Amino acid sequence: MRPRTSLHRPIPLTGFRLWGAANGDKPSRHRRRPPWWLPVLTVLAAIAVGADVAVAQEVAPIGTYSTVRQSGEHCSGYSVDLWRTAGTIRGLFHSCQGLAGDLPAGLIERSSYDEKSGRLSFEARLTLGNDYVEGREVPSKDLFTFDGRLGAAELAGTLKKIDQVYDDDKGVTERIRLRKQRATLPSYPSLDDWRRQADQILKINGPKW
Amino acid sequence: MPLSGAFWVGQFPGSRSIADLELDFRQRVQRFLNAISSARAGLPDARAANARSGAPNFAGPVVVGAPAGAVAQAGPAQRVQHPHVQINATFRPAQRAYMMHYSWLITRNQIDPVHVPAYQPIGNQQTPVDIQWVHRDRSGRPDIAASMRAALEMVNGFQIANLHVAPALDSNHVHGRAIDMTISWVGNMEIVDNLNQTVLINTLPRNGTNRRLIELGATYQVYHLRHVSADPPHWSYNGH
Repeated sequence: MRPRTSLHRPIPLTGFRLWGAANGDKPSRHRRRPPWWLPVLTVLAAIAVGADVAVAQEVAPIGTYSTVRQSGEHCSGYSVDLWRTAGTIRGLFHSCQGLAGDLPAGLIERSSYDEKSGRLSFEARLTLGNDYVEGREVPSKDLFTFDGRLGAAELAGTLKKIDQVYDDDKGVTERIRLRKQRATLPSYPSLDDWRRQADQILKINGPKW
Repeated sequence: MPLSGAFWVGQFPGSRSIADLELDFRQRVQRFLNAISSARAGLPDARAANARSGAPNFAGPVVVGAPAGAVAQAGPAQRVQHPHVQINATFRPAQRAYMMHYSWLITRNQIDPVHVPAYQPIGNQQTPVDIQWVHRDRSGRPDIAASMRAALEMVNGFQIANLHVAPALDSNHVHGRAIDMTISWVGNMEIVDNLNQTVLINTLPRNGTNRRLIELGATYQVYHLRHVSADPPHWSYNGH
């Protein structure tokens, strides 16, 4: 007789009440045992459903916070679009130092948010423009670091910016206070949908590093 | 003719490169930028040094007067630095300005999509914008709601939703005759103007709105916007 491999060994049903005898039930010779693959399938299905739930988790808007001011065809300041999903903060950071529109943007990364205190910190990589170095134009490597508090009406804290193209750049730190804007952000049925729209913006105005 | 919508955001992209400036202005900018990037910054405060040594405190002569290359040497422990220049925008195609302008107006109910005029070529920017602003329902009637939604997609893509005024249809940027850039340095700076004179800049602020730097830029025929604080990064061929 061919020995059974572990793959063919019946999986003990301990813990499963699908077909097994309950306490007090008389074991029946005619009661069918579940096929060996059923628990495996059940576990796999549970994992798959869990993954689907994670992907399909709604990405709900928190809002846009901005200090961007427009003067003529130019603008200056910062803007942050924030969403919440699965207990984490997602978002895009924008900076305007020139023409209005086509704002350089970066994904909010390494974010940390404490819902109780409202403390929020994050980093964002942007390319604000081309650095002119020794007669050549090089995409800038602007790293923004924010540490502050997120409130219902404003996002306030300290923003540090350093351009990593320049070895001797000591960075600039400033206190910023971004007011929540009236315009509402869209919500997305899943993180994938949110990523798609973020990628569209980042493809054109995102960091080049 | 493709309908309006997010697709158009990726068309006719703007530029941050001086290579996309109009030829004559590009040459002026190149000379100015070369002067800035080779300037010596991080120099000690000459006024303070003179005061310590008992020398008369000069009242602010801008031009040192020495030919380029004959400037004072930095101290042995002093590391010469160069100013930092970051170019934020140069050229915005007229077609992009057109799409920004009218998509913004549509979403603000300031123009009916039906009445948006066709793109009028500016200068040598003759490539038409074959955009269909009016979406139609199955019976062929204008679908204003769908047209508005599509315009909003564009406004969001261009990131102009929060602007208070529609983006300009025509400007020096559209003609490649303007540049937005941030300039910064530390300490005092020696820089050569277009007359080959070395100029000491020991005044504040240490950025592109410094009056002496603006005067020096004018020797290269690169003019800061006349109302300096209105648009700090904006320089152009005529000061507008």
